[in-house]
Amino acid sequence: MFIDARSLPDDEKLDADIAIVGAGAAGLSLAIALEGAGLNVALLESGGLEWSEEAQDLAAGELGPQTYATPESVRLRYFGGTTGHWGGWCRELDAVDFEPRDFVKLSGWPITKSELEPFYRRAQEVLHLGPARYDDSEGVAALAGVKLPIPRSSDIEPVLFEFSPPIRMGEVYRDLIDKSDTRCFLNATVSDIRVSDDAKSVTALTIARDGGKPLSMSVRHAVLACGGLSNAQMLLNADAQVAGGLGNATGQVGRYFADHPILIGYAAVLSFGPEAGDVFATNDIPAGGRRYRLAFQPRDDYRRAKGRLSCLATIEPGGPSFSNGAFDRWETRWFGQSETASALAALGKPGWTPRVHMLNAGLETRPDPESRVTLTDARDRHGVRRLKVDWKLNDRDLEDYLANLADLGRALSASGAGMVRIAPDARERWPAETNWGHHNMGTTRMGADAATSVCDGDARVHGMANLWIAGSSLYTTPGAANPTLTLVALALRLAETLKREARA
Amino acid sequence: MRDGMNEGQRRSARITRRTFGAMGLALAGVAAVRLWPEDPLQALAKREDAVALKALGQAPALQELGDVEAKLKAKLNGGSYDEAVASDALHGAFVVLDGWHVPEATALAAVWLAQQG
Repeated sequence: MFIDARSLPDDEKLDADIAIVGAGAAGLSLAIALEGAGLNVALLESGGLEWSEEAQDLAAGELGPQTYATPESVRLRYFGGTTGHWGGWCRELDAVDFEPRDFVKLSGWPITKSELEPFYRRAQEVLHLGPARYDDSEGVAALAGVKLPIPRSSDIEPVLFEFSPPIRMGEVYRDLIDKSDTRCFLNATVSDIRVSDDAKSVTALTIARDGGKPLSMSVRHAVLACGGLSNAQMLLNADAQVAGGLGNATGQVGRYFADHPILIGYAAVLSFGPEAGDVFATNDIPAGGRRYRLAFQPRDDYRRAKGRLSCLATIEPGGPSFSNGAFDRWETRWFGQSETASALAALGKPGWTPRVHMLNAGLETRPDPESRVTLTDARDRHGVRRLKVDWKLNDRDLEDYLANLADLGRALSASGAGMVRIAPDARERWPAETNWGHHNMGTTRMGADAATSVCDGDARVHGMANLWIAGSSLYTTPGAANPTLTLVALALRLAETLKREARA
Repeated sequence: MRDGMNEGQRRSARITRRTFGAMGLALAGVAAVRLWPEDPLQALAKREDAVALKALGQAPALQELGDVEAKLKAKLNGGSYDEAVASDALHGAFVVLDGWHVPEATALAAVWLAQQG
């Protein structure tokens, strides 16, 4: 059921077995999974059922020197959260993403992919996806009647994204929450987290609202599901009883902030073959009533052998064909000298239609403690300190991408499917001309060691008995895949943990 | 020396004549011409995409490849241009031209053809 917190009397006493702060992808998935468990669950959403400027203002903040999306534009504060403008890209992380890697400092999740597998399967359903076929590019391509440009056995292998419709979770699950036992408090901004005298457990949440005094909700368990930025903001801001904020004894909260650098036009592909051209020209692969997109990624074993990070490179559709002169109207900076590209294109077999396509990619990055979210002295209207996002990018991560691109070029040339161009000024463009995926990750990372992490492998804040985190802020390392599917899987896994804990 | 043969070749021809007669010698000559592999450089010049290669070979960035004929012969190693390109692609032997990763064999062939006029 929905309850507008603004309508409650000032002396309202609230309590919950489990209070979930934030009704976005993580919070809603958790609430849905807790349905029917016989627990008193409260879902606290800062915004309303529809987007509003008033609620969105609470997300505002500052940026460091690196160009990045303003905090108020990168996420949405209303029921359904950032799924309200989600692109729907889904892909699991790979097994190697969870492993400790000696070439990635502080890598190694405290859980393995196999532990997450059952929850990945259920996350497919939550996000209205089909059976997971992310690594079955051959099977999906065969179903769709297209040929892969390079074989699965390549060092850089063809893999798949699947698109969620994309679902707007605030619309899809509104009725379910409305008819459920879960109480969803709208326009309810958690402005403080109160803890016991020994500071080892959460006792209550302070709920600020417009037009009334703050309310207090007593809780047995509290889950922060406010997104990759605000999970850290909430912990840092809760410093009235604990200096430096909750879970921050080792100063790790807010560090290791990561997003996927999205490099647009750093590379191009010249496709030769008509079969490969079909895939490149349309990009999306419709198969079995689902929509997939082809991507190129270094294989797990290749990454381990080369000591290299991952990337997911996609070829943008609609590249110019050399047969119709459209090339001249395109940005030659992406493709180099047109004479060179034209001559190379003519090397294709007679009757083929060479095309040039822009190659874009999302990059994995190494954890960097200096890339971080901090608080400023400015406060929002509920007294919560605003945040500052200082995203740091490292040259070594770009070098891994360029090496992966060169290997992709080798694979495409070897199969006769095409050639790759790396922009000669790629290193000059980085990091100024870098886009991002709006994927806020890492600020409350999981880890076995409290000295370098905020949460344990169960997503419980180190040193706290009943404070938990849901969302992509948990990511120990970001991988290259878009984060929504994994954060939903983690939330579903947390639901099982909370059921056990709450019954104990 | 009127027949253009050296002593060894003349001896070989005498043996062949004794063995197969004059007609046999003529047939053996035709077969030799047909079976003898064409010079890889001559085959390169006859390719359908030779014009495109020649255009590519005029790129200023490729003019620093040095003695391309010797390098190209070594690259082809008696085999075909397509084989050399495939081998370069497989082993990552590329020349970077305006950012494009071009197989070394393609770059060498392009400059050599451009030099032939």
